[in-house]
Amino acid sequence: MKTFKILGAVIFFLFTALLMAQIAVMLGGCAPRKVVQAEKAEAPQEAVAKQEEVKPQEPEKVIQPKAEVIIEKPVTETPAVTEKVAKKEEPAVTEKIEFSDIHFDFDKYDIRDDAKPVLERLAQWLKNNPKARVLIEGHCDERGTNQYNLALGERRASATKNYLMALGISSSRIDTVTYGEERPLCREQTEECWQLNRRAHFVIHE
Amino acid sequence: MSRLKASGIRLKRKHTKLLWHYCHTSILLAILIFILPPIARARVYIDITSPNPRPILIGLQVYTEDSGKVSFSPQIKALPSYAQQILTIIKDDLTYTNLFSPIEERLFLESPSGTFKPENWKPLGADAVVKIKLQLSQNTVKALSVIYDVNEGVQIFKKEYSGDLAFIRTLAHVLARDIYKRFTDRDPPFEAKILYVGQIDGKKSLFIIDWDGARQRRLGISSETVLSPKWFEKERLLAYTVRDGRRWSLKTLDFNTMTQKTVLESQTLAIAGDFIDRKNLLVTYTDADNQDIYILDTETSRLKKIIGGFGIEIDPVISPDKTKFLFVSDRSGSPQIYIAELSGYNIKRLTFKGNYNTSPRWSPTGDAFVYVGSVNGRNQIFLQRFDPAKTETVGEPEQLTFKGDNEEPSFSPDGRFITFSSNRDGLWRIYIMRIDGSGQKALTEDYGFSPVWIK
Repeated sequence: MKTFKILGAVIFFLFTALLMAQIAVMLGGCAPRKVVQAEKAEAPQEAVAKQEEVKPQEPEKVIQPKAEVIIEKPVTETPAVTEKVAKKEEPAVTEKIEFSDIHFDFDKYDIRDDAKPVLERLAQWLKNNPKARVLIEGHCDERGTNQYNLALGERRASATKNYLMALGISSSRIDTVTYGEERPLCREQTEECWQLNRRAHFVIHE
Repeated sequence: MSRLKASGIRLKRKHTKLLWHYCHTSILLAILIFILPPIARARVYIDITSPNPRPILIGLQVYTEDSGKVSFSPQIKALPSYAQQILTIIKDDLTYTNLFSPIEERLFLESPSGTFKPENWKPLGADAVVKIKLQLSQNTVKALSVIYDVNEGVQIFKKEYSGDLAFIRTLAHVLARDIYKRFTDRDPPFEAKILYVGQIDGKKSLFIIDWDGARQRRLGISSETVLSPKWFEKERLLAYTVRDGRRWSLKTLDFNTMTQKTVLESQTLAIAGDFIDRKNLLVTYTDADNQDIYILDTETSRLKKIIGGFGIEIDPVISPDKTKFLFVSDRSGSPQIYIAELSGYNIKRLTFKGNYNTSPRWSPTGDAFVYVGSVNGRNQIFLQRFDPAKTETVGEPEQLTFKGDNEEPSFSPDGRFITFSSNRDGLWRIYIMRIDGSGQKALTEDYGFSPVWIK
C-alpha cells in the first residue's frame, strides 16, 4: 500500500510538473507570436498614421474651449444679452450667453460700425465676468482662395481681438482661430449668404 | 518638450519598404533588361515647341505570343484582355498629349503579329506603326516594342522590357513613354504621380494617383485640415501643413526613407511653401498678427523673415532656378502676385488685371506661371508668360478655365499639363488639362484638393 501511495504521489507530481511546463510553453510561445502577427497585420499605408497617433496631444486640449458653452447658431439680430447678464447669480447663465457674429466686407478685415455695439456689449460682459474667456473664430466666404482665406480669417479674428483689447480686455483672456472658408454657415451663391459667412464668431467659456 | 522641437520619426524598415513599394511601383518594376542593337540616327519627328504641331497618325498594335509551353493560371488565361488593357493605357496616354492620333483598329490591313509592310499602312495615311509583342508567364511579362516609320519603310526603334505581371499599368506607361520619346525627344509625364489632399472619415488625408487618375492610394496621414503639399523633386521631399484646431504643424516627409519630421509648430498661422534646398523651406508665418514670408531652417526650426509689411503676405513659391520667388500680397489693397529675390529685395508686382489674384505656381522652366484670378466672383486659372531674364511678364494673362471655381493649379514636370482642383460639378475634385486649357477632365471621383506632381 505504502509503495502505491509513494508511486501515486510521484505520478501526481510528475503530472503537475508536466502541466505547469505545458502552460509555461503556451504562455511563452504565444506572447512573441502575437507581436509578430501584429507587425504583419499593419498595412504599409497605415505606418505613418500610427506614428502620428503616438505623438502626445494632451497639452493642446487645454486650449480647446469647453464644449458645453459653444453656441454654434449665428444670431444676426441684436442679441438679448443684457437680460441674461442681469441674472448673474445663477451659475447656469454663462451657458446661455451668446453674442451675435460680427460681419466684414469682402476681402476686408477692418471692424465695421455695425460691429462696434456688439463688441462693446461683449467687452462689458467680459468685465462683469472676469473669469470668462472668449475664443474668436475668423471666417470667410467661399469666394476667395483657400490659403488667402485662412490668412484673412486670422486677420478678422485678430482685428476683433485688438478692438476688445482697446476696450480694456486683457489679451490673455482672448484666443483667436481662423477657419478660412472651411466652415460656412450658408452655402448659397448669394451676397446675403456670403455676408453671413464673412464673420467673426464668439465662443465664450469659463 | 520634444514635441515642440523638430522630431524625426523613423519608420520600421519593413514598413518603409512596403510603402515605397506602393508609391513607386515604377521603380520596383525591373524594366529595361537590355536595349537591342542601337538604332540608326534618331530623327525627331515632332517639334513640340512649335505652336500647333500636327499629330502623328499612328498604328498601335499589341499582341500576346502564345508560347505553348506555359501552363497558364486562370489570371493569365485572359490573355487578349491583358494585351487590350496595355493597348488602352498606351492609347489614352498618347492621345491625351494631342501629339498622337491612333488609327482605329477596325481599319487595320495587317494583323498585329504580321510582318510590317509599309503598303499596308500607307493607304491609311499612317506616319508610324508600333508593334508590341507580349510574352506572359506565371508572374512576369516580357514585352518587345518595335516602331516603324511608314514613309521610309524602316524600323526606327526596338526595345525589350520585362516586369511583374501585376504592374500592368506601369509597364504600359513605360511603353507609351518610349513611343512618345522616340518622336519628340522629350520625357512625357506618363509615369508621374499626382499627390493631393483627399478626404476620409471626415478628415483630410494625403493621396497619390497616377497621372491618368488610376491606382489611388493613401498615405497614412490624416488630420482636421491638411493643406498645401509641396514637392521637392531633387531630394524627393514633401512639405505639407497640418492644422488641428489652433495648432499648426509644418511637416516634411522624406520619400527616400519615408521619414516624417515636424519642422515647426505654431499657435498662429504657419503654412509650408517651397523648399529652397534640403534644409531651408519658404513658409508663411504669422507673428504679431502679421502674415509674412520667412525662410525656415528645418533642422533648427529657426525662422528668418524675408518679406514683411503690414498687409497679408502669403504663399511663397520658388523659381526653378532657386533665385527668386512668387508670393501673394494685399499691399496694394487687394491680393496680387509679386516676385522678389530670395534676399527679400527687388519686390515687383506682376498681376494688374482683376482685383483678386492668388495661388501662383511656376512652370518647370520658369518661362510662365499659373495663378488663380477672380472673374465675376468665381475663381479661374490663368496662364501668364514670363521672361526670367528680364523678370517681367510677357503678353496678357490667358484664362484657361471657365466653369465653377478652379484653384490650386500645378504644372506637370514636362510643363505641358496642369492639374488643379475644381468644384464645377459640385464636389471639389482633381482635374487635369493641357496648358492651352484644352482636354479638361476629372481625375478623381471623390473629394480632392491641392494637387501637386511628383515624379
